[in-house]
Amino acid sequence: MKTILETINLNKAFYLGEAVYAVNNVNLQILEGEIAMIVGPSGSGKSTLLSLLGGLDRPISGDIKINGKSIVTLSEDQLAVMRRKSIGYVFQFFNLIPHLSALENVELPMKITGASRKEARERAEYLLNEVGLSPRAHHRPDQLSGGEQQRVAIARSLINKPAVVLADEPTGNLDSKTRDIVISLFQKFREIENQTFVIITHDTGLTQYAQRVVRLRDGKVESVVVAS
Amino acid sequence: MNKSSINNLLAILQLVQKNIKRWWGRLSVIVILVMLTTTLSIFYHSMLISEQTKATIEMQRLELPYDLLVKLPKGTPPLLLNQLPKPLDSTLMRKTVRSWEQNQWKEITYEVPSVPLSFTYAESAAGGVVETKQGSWEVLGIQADSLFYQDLKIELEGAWLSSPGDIILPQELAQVNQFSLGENIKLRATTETGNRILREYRVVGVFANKYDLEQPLILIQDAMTLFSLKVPNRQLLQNNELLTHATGLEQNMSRVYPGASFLYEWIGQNRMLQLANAVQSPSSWVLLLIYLFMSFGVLTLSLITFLERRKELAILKSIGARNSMIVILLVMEYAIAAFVGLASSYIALRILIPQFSWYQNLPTGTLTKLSIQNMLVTVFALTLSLLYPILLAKLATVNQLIYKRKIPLITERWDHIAKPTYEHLLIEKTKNVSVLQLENEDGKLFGSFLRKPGEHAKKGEVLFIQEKLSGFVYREWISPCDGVIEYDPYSGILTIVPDDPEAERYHYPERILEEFERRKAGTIKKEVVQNEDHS
Repeated sequence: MKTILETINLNKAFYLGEAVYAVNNVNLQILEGEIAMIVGPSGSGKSTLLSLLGGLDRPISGDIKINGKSIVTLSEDQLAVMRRKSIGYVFQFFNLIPHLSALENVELPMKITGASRKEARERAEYLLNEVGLSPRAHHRPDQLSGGEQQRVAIARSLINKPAVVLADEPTGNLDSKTRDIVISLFQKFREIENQTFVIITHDTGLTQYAQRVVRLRDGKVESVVVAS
Repeated sequence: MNKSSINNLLAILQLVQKNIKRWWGRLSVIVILVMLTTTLSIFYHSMLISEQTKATIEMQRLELPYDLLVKLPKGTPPLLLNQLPKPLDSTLMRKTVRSWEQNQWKEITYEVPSVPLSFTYAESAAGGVVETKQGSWEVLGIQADSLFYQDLKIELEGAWLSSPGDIILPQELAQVNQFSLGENIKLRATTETGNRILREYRVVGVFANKYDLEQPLILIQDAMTLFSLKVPNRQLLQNNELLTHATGLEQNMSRVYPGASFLYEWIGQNRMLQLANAVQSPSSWVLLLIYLFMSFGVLTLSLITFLERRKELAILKSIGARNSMIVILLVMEYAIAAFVGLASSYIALRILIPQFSWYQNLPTGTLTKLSIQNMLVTVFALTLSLLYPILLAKLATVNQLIYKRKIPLITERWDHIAKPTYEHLLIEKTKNVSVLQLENEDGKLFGSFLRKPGEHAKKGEVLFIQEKLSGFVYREWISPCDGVIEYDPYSGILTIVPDDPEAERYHYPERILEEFERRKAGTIKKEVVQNEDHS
């Protein structure tokens, strides 16, 4: 299998009175069609690493390659286009547009790509059905629970069939039943679309579903376990 | 435009519609600001234009058929043409006058001689103040065959002065007092000796429009009798129209006619021009202030709104919205708000302005013209107020927007010194290291280390960061090679000692290196000379 996501000597530091390396010389390789999980204690740099992988932030040095192409030199506009085609991102705090309904939130990324309203609506309805939110499709985010918003965010990340889905604690707000639904969904899309999932989680129980588990500590890769 | 672009545009339109619902409060403030500004400025501006038009009409009304009317003092007879001031040597001078043409003031520059020529024609006349039932009038007695009034006879309603007791009235005077042709008017004059003389006159004519002298005309003989004059007490003079303005002429006329008063042809025009200028100059400031108020309001509002909407824009970027989409989105929202504001103010003005009496003087199409002008100013102000938010949205990363971090407008990354000095290059060459220059003063650094001195850095890694101009400018110093960092706090020179002395690093341009070599050769030579001296 080919490498779809790769980081080379990746660094990200913040100056908080003194330099703090949230991501410190991280070298990673994630293969196409894998479910990779990034685990580690709070403050270990998981979310920072994920936002770097998604082009949401800029590293201070190092390289990130998606499908063999470096993204660190891309402009914000080029990054947006790259995200549109190749990356689905699930934020820890959902980040849904508050004045759009669940359905509109999900279909928006597809509409942005120039897909017709009908196509986008059909795909969004399908995904909302998959995450068990069809009855709540026309509710705005403030009318949904945290778990429901999380599922809307997951559906949104899948709408353009991206090569890589990056999810920051996608099951953090979910009960065990819904958590299983979401994980099954990831597995299903991995099998159908050959999509790659990079998931940050605190839930060690989830690692059983992963083909690769990356453990971070103080911004550094402590261990990488690949399932046989 | 292909199908994909149309779908994209439809998606933006749908989002605009939703955004307007969401941000209706903020957008309403823009609508109100635009509406208020537009209404105020157009109302004020049209009132001003109306007054200026009125002033122009007044100016025309005051136009006189002669160049100069001399009101002679008691007992002073009119002089002959050859006794009046003679021309002086002339030099050409530039003269600029303002003219009201096609609903706007235009400046016209002439080249004129600096001094007057002599008067070309003179007529004696008589006049004075009379009392009527309608108030005091100043009447002028002229010759029946006066050349000054020859051309004006065609603009006369009724007949010209032909027999004693005839009077011609200016149009306004006739209209205000409702005099009609053939009607009799009693004029009472007070003679120089204090006697009162009452005479009755018959209205034979009324001036049709301009050349309204504000003074009724009678025959000179009638005026001499009415005011008991032995010699004419008025003189009408003709000269080159432009030259009558000359200061020298005024002085010379005062010299030959001491105690006389003069009514120059241009006096009325000048008064009106002065009046128009006196109004116009502060008015432009008032209009500017109105527009500044709007621009400032919209700018503040757009910045506040941007700060509140950072997250929304970040989400759009994170799901793949390009900068152009964000620009279209913001511009369309503002354009709709501006359109509503402009349209409602235009309707309000259409209803409001006709209620005022000065509307009568407003030239046709003024409101439309002002509305277009105002629309352009509004569009400009809104565009200007959107520039900064659009620029920030373009430059910021998604995380900078979400986590409300500073968004620098300029980001500089340096892996070398922009202008290396001789000392920099000397360190680099003699020690075979890479150097960076940090800003410091008395050992105090302006910025922060991300990799501390003594630590190892990889090529391309940020070593030092600095924010300038309150975060507008962000600078990063990058390691040009793998190596260990050293820092001299006195000079501010950051040195990177490469792991591999042969490692690829930044090469300064040839001209800089040549200059270095030249100076180095000079220095060495100097050192040798110094050493020889010591020995």
